[in-house]
Amino acid sequence: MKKYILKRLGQLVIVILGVTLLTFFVTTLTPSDAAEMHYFSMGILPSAEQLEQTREEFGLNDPFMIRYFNWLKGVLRGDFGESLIDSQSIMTLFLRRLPKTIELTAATLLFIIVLSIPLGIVSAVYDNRLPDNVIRFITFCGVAMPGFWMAMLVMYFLGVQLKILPVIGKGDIKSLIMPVLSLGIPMACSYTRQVRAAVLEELSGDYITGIRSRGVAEKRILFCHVLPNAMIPIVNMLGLSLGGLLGGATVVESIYNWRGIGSMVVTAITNRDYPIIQCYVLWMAIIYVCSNLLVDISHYFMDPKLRIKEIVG
Amino acid sequence: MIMLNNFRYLKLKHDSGSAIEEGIAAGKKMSNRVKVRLRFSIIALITILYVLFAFNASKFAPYDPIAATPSLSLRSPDRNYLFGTDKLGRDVLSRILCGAGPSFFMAFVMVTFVSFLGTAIGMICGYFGGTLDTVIMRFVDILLAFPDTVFAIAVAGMLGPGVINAVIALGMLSWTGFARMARSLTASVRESGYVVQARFNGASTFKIIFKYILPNVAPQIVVMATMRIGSTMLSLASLSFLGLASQPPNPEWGVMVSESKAYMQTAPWMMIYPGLALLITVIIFNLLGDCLRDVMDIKK
Repeated sequence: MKKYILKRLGQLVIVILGVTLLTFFVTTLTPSDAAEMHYFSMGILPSAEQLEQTREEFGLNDPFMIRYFNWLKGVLRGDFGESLIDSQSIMTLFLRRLPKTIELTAATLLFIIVLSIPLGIVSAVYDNRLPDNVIRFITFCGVAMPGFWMAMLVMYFLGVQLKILPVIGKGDIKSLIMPVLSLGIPMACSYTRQVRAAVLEELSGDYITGIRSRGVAEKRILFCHVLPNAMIPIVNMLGLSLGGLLGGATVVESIYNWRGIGSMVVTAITNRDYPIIQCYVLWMAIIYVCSNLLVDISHYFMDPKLRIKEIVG
Repeated sequence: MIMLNNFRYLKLKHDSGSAIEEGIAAGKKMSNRVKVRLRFSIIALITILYVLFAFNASKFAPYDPIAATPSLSLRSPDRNYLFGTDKLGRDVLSRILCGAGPSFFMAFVMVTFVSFLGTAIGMICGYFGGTLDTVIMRFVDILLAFPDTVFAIAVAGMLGPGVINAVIALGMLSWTGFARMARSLTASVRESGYVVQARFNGASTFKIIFKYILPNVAPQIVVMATMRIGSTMLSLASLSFLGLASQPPNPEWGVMVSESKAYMQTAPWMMIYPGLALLITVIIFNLLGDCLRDVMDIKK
């Protein structure tokens, strides 16, 4: 197991180097450059000399590989550079945005789990009967829901029509509800369908027939035998969602003016603020590898077959 | 001896009455297949009608979707303007109708192109394996690390806003799904009996791939591509919503919802109907994908 984790961490290094090199390369291909954007953002039309000077200052004139290594050296020292737009330290900016995104991620995942697992189980147990058909119909529509539309509907019904929540949040717990609903409902729908499929799959297993013939109560079968096995693919999905959510919910964050990573990166992209984009890419790569690792480790604890394999060899 | 065994087997079956049960089960299975086919036919018909309608929808539009008439600004839905009008006095219904064709067309073209490309790459990787396979699949892994909207926003942001750029941005990521699927399917049949036999018989690699492996890969890819049309339309609309794909005054659904943001209190119809149109469209294509999977009898 230890060896495995070490191997994965080694992979992390490769993925990070690959991804950052790639984005570095892409950013050099773009037509407008950072020095120009720096002046435009201040509302100044720069002269050619000014541009040249700023390029020199930003190190934009250095060859590609040298710039990349300079950046990498900085990262190893914990220095991600400064924003090209307002010369803020990116590390501070990023750390200020991160808690908001973590908050949203945690709340959304909790919402998904609380809603989708019971619904999925009900749906599977009542396979092809009324509750199942209702749940399946609703979740089918939910999966097809455009995210931005969902967010606006939630805002319209809860904020404008019923007036139970403020349209523009003040940063308290109340302002969390609408973004979580907008993000969570479509996701919970697809999770419910997955839970249903996983539970049905397990229920059709031969071992269930065996347990049933021994006269074990249905409830016990469901909660002690089916669920632990059915949760394995769900945990897998949760890992992917965790990664996706920590990367920032771009659309929902921009609609609700949520100051997290997602809205940060959208602004950075429109401003061509490359150091921020680089930092974001690095963050995504780390999340990706870590969430995969987390999923694998949880498999190890949830699936006894894997542990046996290790003992037997 | 064999006959005797068979006889005993038959007798046993007969005794337990399971032959009849089996017959009933087989009958049920048959009627199930009929049901699945019937459902597929209905959905396919609906989809065809939808596509035909989408491409001709602008002919049904009662008003000009782009020309502004300020005097009609923000009218609530009535008999003349079924879905109301927007800030510039344009008929929302006409704009929705005119937006259907281009949205579908863009998504369809992209998915078609990307599914061919992804399948080709995936099959090559799966069949030949080796370093090329490892390198490409690692690359795919890296691409999959990014949430697709963020990636598309990044690419669209770098290329500049516009529909074509948004399609390119989405395409750059979505081939990976097809490549993965095609690769795993190819790898799973590569060493199977009939492929090995064909190789022994001296069939060319080209022939093996097209005649023996492609039929195993194609059904899944078709199902996946159908499912992708809906989600691609969603992503394109999201990008338009963020101002990175279709630009106003184009009658695009994402643009329309985005324009409605400021009038949520006074003119909710501006937001509700375009979103509803998008929702229904996506549902139709998802249903088609589901039914197609059932008809082709593919397990998830």
